[in-house]
Amino acid sequence: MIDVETEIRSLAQQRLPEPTPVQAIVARGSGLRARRRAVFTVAVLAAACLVATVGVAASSTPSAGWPTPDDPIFDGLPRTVVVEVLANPRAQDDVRILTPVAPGARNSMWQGMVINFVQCRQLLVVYRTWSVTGRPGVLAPHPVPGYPQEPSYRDVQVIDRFYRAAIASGDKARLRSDLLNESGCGVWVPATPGDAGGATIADVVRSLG
Amino acid sequence: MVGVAPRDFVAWYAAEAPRMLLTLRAALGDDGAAHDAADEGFARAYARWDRVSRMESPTGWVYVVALNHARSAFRRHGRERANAARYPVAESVPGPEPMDPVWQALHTLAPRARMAVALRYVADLPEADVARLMGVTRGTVATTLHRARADLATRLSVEEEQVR
Repeated sequence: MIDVETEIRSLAQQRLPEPTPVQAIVARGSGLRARRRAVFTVAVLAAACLVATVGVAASSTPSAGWPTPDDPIFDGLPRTVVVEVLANPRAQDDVRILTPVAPGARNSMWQGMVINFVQCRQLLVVYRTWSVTGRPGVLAPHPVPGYPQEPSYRDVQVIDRFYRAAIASGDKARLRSDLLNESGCGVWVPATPGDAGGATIADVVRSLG
Repeated sequence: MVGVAPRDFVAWYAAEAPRMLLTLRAALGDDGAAHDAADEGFARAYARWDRVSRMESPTGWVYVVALNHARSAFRRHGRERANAARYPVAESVPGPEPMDPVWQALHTLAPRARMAVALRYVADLPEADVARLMGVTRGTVATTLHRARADLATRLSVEEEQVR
């Protein structure tokens, strides 16, 4: 079997392309900076006019920050998990990098992570049952949001099929490997709801053997 | 007037730009788009270098900007479909040998799988960073890479058989 990972890595080491000369980047960046300053000046003037016109009413405008548990993107999802995910430092860290440049992707990611938490804990139940009884537990359907956000919701379905295939294979080691995988849900979803610093699902899976 | 680049920007650019360009070329399958996206990302970094240089990962920030710029450009010009039809990449593309079977196979993957493979194996970013850059969950990256590796291995094995 061909080791694709090694092949691509070695290919990437062979010869790197020649980038644009740095002087051209600096010129382009300076142009952007000048345009940004001009836009900023106009925006400040416009904002001043707006504040003067709208006055106190402007204070009731919703914040442009992160979503709250009442945001429609969480409709249909368990509120306790929503609250937990919004407060989870690693979830916040994952979303933070998207906030300035991709606000649409941010909502999709929050929703995906909430479903991911639920899904992962259900998988732990399946694995635990398998370890104790010798037969896998039944994987409950993942929660369905009222307003599915893409691309996360499509991903949720792909991941769901992925794990169901692992369970259907009858190979407990396969599910174990998926839950211990470096980027699987197991390595970061807390086994105990709300205990962000405690044992992860992967920790529990390891202890079950 | 063009300003003088702070020295650390120049050094950082020299260190990061070649791999960034190769990664974007692998991810986007288009040398022109890769150059444009990389240039835009680095130019924006220069424009706000006082802030970007203090970030934990300026390179990660440039990846996000560059990939968003590429997506906007594809949408604007309606080029995504045209690019898909143009795979494998043109022979004039620099970097690894364009006719290399691995490189060619990479460009048969779906855009998102290609992007995950490029960020993980060409840029050599950890899977968690790939997830952040693509705006997806870590599990999605794992499954995407798992499938992409299987697809590539199958395709390359078939080609190897045909050569024999």
